Parts: sequence; C-alpha cells; structure tokens
Amino acid sequence: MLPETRHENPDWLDALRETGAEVFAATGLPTPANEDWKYSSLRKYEKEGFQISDIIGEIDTNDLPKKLLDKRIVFVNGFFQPRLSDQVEGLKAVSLLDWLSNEPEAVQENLVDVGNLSDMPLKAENTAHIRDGVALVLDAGVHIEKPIEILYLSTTKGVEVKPKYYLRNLFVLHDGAHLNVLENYQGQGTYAVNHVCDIALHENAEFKHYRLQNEDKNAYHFCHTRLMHHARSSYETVTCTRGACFSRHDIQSLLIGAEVSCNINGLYMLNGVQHFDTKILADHMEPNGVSKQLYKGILDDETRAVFQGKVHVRRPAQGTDGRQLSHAVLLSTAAEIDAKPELEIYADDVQCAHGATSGALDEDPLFYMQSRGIPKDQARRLLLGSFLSEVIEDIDCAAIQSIFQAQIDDWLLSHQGAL
Amino acid sequence: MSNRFAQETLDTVKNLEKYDAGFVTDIEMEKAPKGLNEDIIRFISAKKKEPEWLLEERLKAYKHWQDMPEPNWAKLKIDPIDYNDAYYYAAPKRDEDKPETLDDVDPKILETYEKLGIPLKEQEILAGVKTRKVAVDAVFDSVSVATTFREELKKAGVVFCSISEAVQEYPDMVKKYLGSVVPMTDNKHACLNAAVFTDGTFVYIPKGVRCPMELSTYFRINEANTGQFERTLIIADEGSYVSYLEGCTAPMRDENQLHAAVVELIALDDAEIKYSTVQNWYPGDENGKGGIYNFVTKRGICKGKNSKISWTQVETGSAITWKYPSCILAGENSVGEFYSVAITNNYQQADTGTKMIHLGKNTKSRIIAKGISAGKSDSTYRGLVRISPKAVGARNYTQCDSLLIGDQCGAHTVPYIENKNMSAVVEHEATTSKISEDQLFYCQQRGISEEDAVALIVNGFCREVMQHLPMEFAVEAQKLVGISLEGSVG
Repeated sequence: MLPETRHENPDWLDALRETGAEVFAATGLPTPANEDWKYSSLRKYEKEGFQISDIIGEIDTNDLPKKLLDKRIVFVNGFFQPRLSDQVEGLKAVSLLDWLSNEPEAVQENLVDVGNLSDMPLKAENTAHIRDGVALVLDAGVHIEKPIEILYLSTTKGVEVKPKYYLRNLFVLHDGAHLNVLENYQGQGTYAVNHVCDIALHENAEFKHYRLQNEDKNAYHFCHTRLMHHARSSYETVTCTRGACFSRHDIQSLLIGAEVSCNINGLYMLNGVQHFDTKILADHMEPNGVSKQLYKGILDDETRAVFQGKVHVRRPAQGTDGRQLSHAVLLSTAAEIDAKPELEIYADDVQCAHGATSGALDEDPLFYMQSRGIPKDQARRLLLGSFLSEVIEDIDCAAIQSIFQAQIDDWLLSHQGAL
Repeated sequence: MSNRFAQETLDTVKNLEKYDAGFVTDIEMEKAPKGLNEDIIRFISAKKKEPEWLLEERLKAYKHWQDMPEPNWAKLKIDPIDYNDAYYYAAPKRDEDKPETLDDVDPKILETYEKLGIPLKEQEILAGVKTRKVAVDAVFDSVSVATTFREELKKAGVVFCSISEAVQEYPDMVKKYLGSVVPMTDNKHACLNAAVFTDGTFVYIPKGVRCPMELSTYFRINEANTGQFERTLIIADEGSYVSYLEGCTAPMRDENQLHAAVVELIALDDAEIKYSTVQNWYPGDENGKGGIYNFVTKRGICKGKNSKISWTQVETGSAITWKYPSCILAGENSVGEFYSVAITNNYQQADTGTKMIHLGKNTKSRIIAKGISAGKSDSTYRGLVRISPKAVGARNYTQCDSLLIGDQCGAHTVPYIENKNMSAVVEHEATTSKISEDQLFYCQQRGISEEDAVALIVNGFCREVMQHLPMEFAVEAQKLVGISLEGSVG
C-alpha cells in the first residue's frame, strides 16, 4: 500500500523524495573511506541485494510477539496496522499517513528540515522512499506518562525477494508535553530496515524514549535519529541491542535551546558475527546544556562493536556539562571493539569529560566469588549482569526497567555455555 | 635562520679541520635555485656525495610525492603550500641581509631570549647577527665542546654524527634502517622529506652501552644543519640506553616556512630510547601572520623484547603543528610512552598526539597529553591505540586533559581506540575545563599577578609531563609556558 494510492500526494513531499533520491544517487552507500563509517563496511549488505517491497502478508494477532506494555501500536513491514493496534488517548496522530491526510502543513513543517543529506546517505535513501512511519504528536501540555509500546515487525512472509523496508518516524512534543515510549524492533528472515526518526522537543517537553532492537540475526538494521532540543526540554533514551547481523545507529542531538538535558545511553549484547555501530553527536549550541552518554556492552564470538561519540560545544554554549562513557567487555579472542569518543570544544566555561575502557572480565572478583562458593558460570553471569545494569539503573519507569533487565538475564542465560 | 647559520658554522668547522688557521675564510656557499624538481634532488645528492642507492630512493620518493594527496584529516586550516616557492638546498644568509648588531634585532625576540636565560653572546648567534667575530668565538666554544663530546662518546663507542657523515661512514647501517620505520609512502610530508632531506642526526648506541651523556641537537646545532627537512635516525642496540634532546631554543624568528622533519627510532632487545623535544619555532604574530608550519613525522619501533621508547614533547611554538610521535610495540614486553604538552595562543593551531600500535605480547603503553589553548587558537589531541589480535596481555592507559583560557579558543580530543584482543586492558579518559577561578583568586590574593598565577597554574596542570623532561629542559620549558601564554589574560 503506497501513500500515492491512499492519499493526495502533496508536491512538497514529491520534491523532498526527489531530493533524497538525487542525493543518494550522488553519494551511494557510505564506505569506510568516509570518516563516519570508518569501522563499518556495507559490502556484505550490498551483496545481499535487498529490494523494496510493499507486500504485507496476512498477519494476525497470533503472529505478533507478546505484548510488553498495556498499549501497543503495531507497524508491519513499514506500514501502520490499525487493526492490530490499541487506541491511545491524547495523541493527535499515530501514523505518518494519517497525519498527512489530516494536517499536511504540520507534517511539512516537521518533515522538510532534513539536515545536510549528503552527509547522511542512508537518510537520503530513506527520504527518497518516504512512505509510512510512526507519527506521535502531542499538543502543548499533554502528558502521557504510561509508556506506549511501538512494535515494528518485519517479516519475509509471502515476500519473494529479500525485502528492504523504510520507516519515517516523527515524534513531536509541543511545549510542556510528556511522552514515554518503548520502540520494539522485531522480525523474521533476511531483510533490511531503514528507520529515520525525527524528534522535535519544544520548550519544557520531556521525552523518555526506549528502544529494544531485537531484529532477526540475519537482518540489517539502520536507524538515524535527529533530535531538535528546544529550551529546557529533556530527553532520555536507552537502546538495548541484541539483534541484527549488522546494525548502525546514528543519533544527532541538536541542543538549539538553553538548559536542555539529553541522556543517550545504550547497552549491547552480541554474539555470532554481529556488527553493531553507534554514532552519537551532542551538539551544544546554547548555554547550560547537559548531555550524557553511557554505552556498555559485551561481545562474544566474532562480533564487533563500534562507538563513535562526539560532544560538540559551540562558542555560546557556556556552562555546558558533557559526558561520554564507553565500556566494553570482550568475551572472545575474536571479538573487537573500536571506540572514538570525541570532544570538540569552543567555550571555556564548560565541564566535559569522556572515558573509554575495554578488556576481558576482571579475574579478581570472579575468583573472590568462586572462593565464596559461587560456581564460575553463575559468578560470571552476575558480574556481567551488574556491569550492564548500570545503564538501566536510572530508568524511573519500573515496567521498562524490568523489560530491559529481562533482556539482559535472557541473553546471559542463553549464553551460559559460551560464558 | 639558525639553520643557515648552523650550516655556515658547520662549514667553518670543517674548514677549521682542514686548515689550521683558515677559519676566517669566506664560506659563502652555493645554493640551489628555488623550486622542487628532479634536478634539485640530484643537486642535493651530489652536494652530499651520496651513493647511488640513496639518490634513487630520493627520486623514487619524489615521484611518489607528486601523486600523494595532502593529509587533510587534521582539524587544521592550512593555506595551500607552494612547494616551488622554497629553497631546498639553503645557503647561509648573505651578510648584507643580516642585522648589524643586536640593536637591529626585533626587541621582542631579545626579550624572549632573555627570559629563557640565554647568554648575550648566544643571543647574538641565535639572532644571526653579522659580526663574524662573535660567531667565530662561538664556534670556538662549540668546537671545544663538540670535541670533548666526541672524545668521550668515542670512548663509549657511541656514534653521534650528521646523517650525511653516516651515509659515508656507516652506509650499511643507514641503508638498513633509513625509512624502515617511516616509509616514504607514509604521508606526503614524510615523503617530501625522503626526497629532499638535507641533513640531520645519526645516533648508534652499541650493545650494552649506556650513553654517558644526554645527546642533544642544541649542542649539535653548531655542528650540523638542523634545517627544514632534517632526518634523524637513532638506533639503540641490545641493552643500550640513550636520552636524546631536541631543542628548538634557537627559535627561527623571522621566517615563515615549512618544516617537515622525519625522526626514526629503533630500539632492539632491552634497549631504551628517551626522546625529548621542546619546540619553540616562531608561532606567527598576534594576528596570525607568519610562523612555521611544523609537519613532523616521528615514529619509533620497539623491535626487541623488553625495549622501551619514551617520547616527551613540549610544543609551544609554530603557527601550525602537525605531529604524532608514535610507537610500534613489536617486541614482547616492550613499552611505549608519550608525554605531551601543547600550548597554543593567538592564532596558532596544533593537531598533535600519538599512535601506539601494540603488536607483541604484554606490551604496555601510556599516554599523558595536556593541551592548553588561549587567544584564538585551536588545539587538538588526536591519538590512536590499536591492540592487534596477537598482543596478548597488552595494556594501555591514556589521559588527555585540555585547558581553555578565554572564550575564543578551542580544545578538541579525537582518540581512536581499537581493541582486537580480549586479554588487553585499554583505558582512556579525557577532560576539558578552564582555569579554576578559585585557584586564580587564591594566587592573586597572595600577591601573585594574574599573569604569573596563570603560568603557575598551567605549570601545575602540566606537571606530570614536565617531570619527564631532562633537567636542562624542564627549567626552560617551565619558563616557556609563561612566555607562550603572555597576553592571554587580562
């Protein structure tokens, strides 16, 4: 189901798609020669030969994974499924297509500012194929405190080619709005999915944004998030990465207002031949912003993780507090971690720090626990579990915290033999 | 200027050796025409009576250089360099161009010398004052000094000479090691150096010898050309130790030129090389005009087991610094260290750091980098720590701290950390902040002027690096900190 068939297609949207297509045709897929992609090669992805697909097989509630929270919004193969989704009070729109048919001007306002696409080839590609996606829009002052689950299910059911799906997601929180969301990425088969997520946080808005990436182990997952932070807004995100053979997450947080708070955290648990790449930019443009990044992960087998974080403090952004931490535990001799925590600072009255560590699990606490009668397997699990839990410690929503904790426990248990 | 002077002096020294009383001979030397082409390279090579293989290497490098792109990944704004607008075989400055007396020399330069505690006579030499008499005196002093050194070093078996001499006298060793650590294809600046290097230092420390004194270009400045394209090769044989100081206390105050040096260090089993630099080339004026482009490739290899290479640098000069002294830790249990202070003021730019490539088992590296930016300057720490899959038990600790003075400057940190070995432990931490108001207030309250207080605090901030400098340098470096930051507060 293409938007063309469902709605009048506004000219500006066609033009936007065209721009995306032109830029992507010029740039092509990024290669490691591109500094942003220094540690990640898309050659394997290219060889897979993914093709755009519009087919949504027959999916009913039984095909869906277990509901994690009370309210759930469901997307299958890139398109909103009202039939499978719950109603949520307080939302102006749920999907991009709906919002487009109701308030095309508002969509335009939030969609056209795409940034410099030639620096973001995959976002350009997504822009060329804007179809559907999440569009959660909260009017000023609306508070939705109870977390909402958004399930993105990708299947190859009934699809003959190796499919490629595009989602264009928008979260718009007007002045003083509050939202709490858990995005759950799931799927079966060999597919590729390209998410672009634009978030606008107006003054005093507060967005708690959690992500659970549990794609099929044969899937390719790309996600590009761009965040516009207006004055005194606050953002907190935790991404838990377990799935996909290749995943790349770009987060651009633009702190265009003063006194904003931005926490970007993540944990990852990789095994097999998984490759996981995160690139984060916190761009402080106004005074007294606080940005924190904490990424922790464990790598087994032949996996590779990449963390490229950057805190950019521009001249007017006095009083900035920027922190960045990346910690990784390597469980296998063939695993690899590459970190590039970067600071670019042009203001003097700032506090900025970063740290990066990597290595094997510390033997001393392991020995200590064994000497107290805890079997080695269990001791390792406990240590790794507590190592990862730091990332979810500060989540104040108990439901979300327990979902993440369950993911950690589950991964550690299922890798008991390997540990 | 000093390099030209140095060349001049070198020739005088040579003449002295030849003719007992011939030291007043006019030593105006030939100079190659401006520009860079194969003929110039042949000219340089012929001048130095180099063997055929070296000329071929130079020509190969030149060919390669032509197709090489300028490295543009550093956070530096570099005006395009016109490689053809330079002399690649520099002649000493003609007498008529030289200042008549010290009174003709820019007072600012003299002020700096004074602060550094350089004696008046040396000041004259450094400023390139015409009076031949003074120069000859100095040469006499240096000759005696140099000779004493030579005697003593010879007794120990240490070879310490210019690279041109080494090419003649120790061709096998030069052929074996020259370009083995920094190949000509490494980067454009190193490649240019490989094609046109004019002189430099060669050091060989034989097995089991602990070099009886600190070797230094400062002492050697009167003995060889430490010009724009110098080449340094230091080989420490099994179980030996050497500490080498590279001082640019002879600041080239009136030139605006490219300085593309290459330094190669080789440490065999159980050997240790300590390489210290205080760099104070002309940084350009307050408006960012002039100054040296300091594009230096320095790299050492810990070839043998238990070997150690330690880099210490204090970078206060140059308009643009592009410099990454690195260690390849190939030998088992080898150790690499990098201690750096980079101070930028006015419109200076510095992009400096290190690479620690861990290849051998149980290799260790330690990086302490301190960056201080003031005025409208930018300073970047850029470093790479790579742990290869074979580097079992490798260990790295990196700390880089930046200090900002004023709100018009920038301080950046770009570390690359690549760990391919689970048994390795890699730690990196970095902070950026400004001078604490409390500390400043405390000092001022006790009667220390703001400027002195800043110098004091900055010296404290750099202490961890400064204490790794040999004594002679440490005192000077501390003073340099104050001088470099002049005018940055108040």
